[in-house]
Amino acid sequence: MISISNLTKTYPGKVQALRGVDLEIGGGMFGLVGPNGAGKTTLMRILAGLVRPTGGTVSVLGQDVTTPRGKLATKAVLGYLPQELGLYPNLTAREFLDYIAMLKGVTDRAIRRRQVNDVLQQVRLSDEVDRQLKTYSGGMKRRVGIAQALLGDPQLLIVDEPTAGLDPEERVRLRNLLADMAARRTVILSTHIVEDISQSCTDLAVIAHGKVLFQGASRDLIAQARGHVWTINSSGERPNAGLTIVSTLQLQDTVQYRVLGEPHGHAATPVEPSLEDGYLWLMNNAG
Amino acid sequence: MPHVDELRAKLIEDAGSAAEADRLLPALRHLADWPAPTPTALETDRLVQTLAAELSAQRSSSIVSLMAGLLRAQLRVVQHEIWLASAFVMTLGVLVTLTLQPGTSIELLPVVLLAPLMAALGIAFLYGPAADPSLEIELATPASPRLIVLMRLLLVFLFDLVLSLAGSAALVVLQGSWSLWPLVALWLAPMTFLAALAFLLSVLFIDPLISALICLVLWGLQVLRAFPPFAAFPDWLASDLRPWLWLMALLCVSVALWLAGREERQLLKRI
Repeated sequence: MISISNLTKTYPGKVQALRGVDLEIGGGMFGLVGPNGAGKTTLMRILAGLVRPTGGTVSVLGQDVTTPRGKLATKAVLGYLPQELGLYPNLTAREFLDYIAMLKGVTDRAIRRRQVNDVLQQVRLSDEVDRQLKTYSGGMKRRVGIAQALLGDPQLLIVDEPTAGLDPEERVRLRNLLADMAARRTVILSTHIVEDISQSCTDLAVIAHGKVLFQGASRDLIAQARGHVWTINSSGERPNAGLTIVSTLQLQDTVQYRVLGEPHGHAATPVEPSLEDGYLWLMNNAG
Repeated sequence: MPHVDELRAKLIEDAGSAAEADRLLPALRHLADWPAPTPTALETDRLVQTLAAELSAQRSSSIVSLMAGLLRAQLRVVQHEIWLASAFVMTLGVLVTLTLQPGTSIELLPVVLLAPLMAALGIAFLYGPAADPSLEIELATPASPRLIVLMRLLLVFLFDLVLSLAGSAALVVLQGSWSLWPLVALWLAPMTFLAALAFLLSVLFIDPLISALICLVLWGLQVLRAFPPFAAFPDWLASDLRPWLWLMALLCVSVALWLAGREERQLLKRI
């Protein structure tokens, strides 16, 4: 469905955002995870036809995004939620969605109204449609963002850091919403929060410094850390160098550390790795 | 082929009565046995041509309705302060002009001096992070970013044009010292040029304040021409300069629209 080969992007000032990215993305929900500044947003923008790559090829649903015709064809089947979600503060949700539907080519007023009502229902905002967007909470604004992306029933949904800044309840709600959306289309979820991926994506790619470090199933990334994750209970010093401390839990008399690496000289108990452990293990080994 | 009883049952379901189904049954059986002729290459070509013409007509009608819809939508999207500020400035200009002594030079009338500035300042604030916060979402739609900003520009310019015409007409009616056309001809070309320049500058710098400031300084020089040190600056109100102002306005809008369509530049300049 999406095929990316040897993709590079260099911004003015010789800033290399992408350095030879190869990816194959099929249907369903696909996670793209990496630290801030890894190149995720640049990759999302290239897929959305907003940024022109410096080199390489990108095919979305058989269309070459680097050509004007392919870009237009891709935009016609695309729903896009950018990382920096800007909304017109004085418009109501209904007015904003009506405007975006028009930009997506729905010129018939009755059809537009029906589509807007449909997406508002999907994101459970039907009761709040006539309030100005400036009165919405962060989570509600994100849901409006998802709603606008769903207008026109897109085959491809790209969401860039959708859960950033949301409270836990809103994050869970948004993740579930995206998972529902993925039943009928490809959803690419870009995030630096591994938990978002672990809860919703079976396939993922890890990107850092403009390169893909891993692509495959979540379980394969988890498997990479198997045998390298431990808990250490200590009443004194923190576990020494060479170990990555994933979490620290203050118990009654001791402190329990969850660590990655080889715990030489410590009384350590092996534990089953999580996706976050797999991600950290990969990032550590990538240097 | 389905059995006759099955066909009849389906017909009863569709037609709603057994009598109607029995009346239609022979026709249905005839159609089922009828060998459809294969179209010739000529007939296929003719069909394709007819469909292409119809599709093309539908496409042009959908572009027209998109443009009309976009123009209407900009009414909600454009910051309301622009409408209010323009109306306020023009009203003030008319009122101040009415208080002037009869015989004041037409070139120094507040309405003539305010109309271009009002349009330029309004248009300077049409583009930029505060004016179009959803730019990235808009760019990801199939709508042309050039068409969107063009509609926005048209809407605000037409509003300012109508305001200035109304202000001039009000002066002609209430004061009676001037004729409408000479008054309008005086500010129309400078207003169009200054508005186009403001548009270009705001798309270029993606900063309405820079655009507004440059326009303010340029127009300030025109206003100050009445004083000796500034008399050397070209007189934008002079009739022989008008064709050049129209030409430069066209150039500014063309360059601005070209820039507005460069999506990557527009996104990166806002970071």
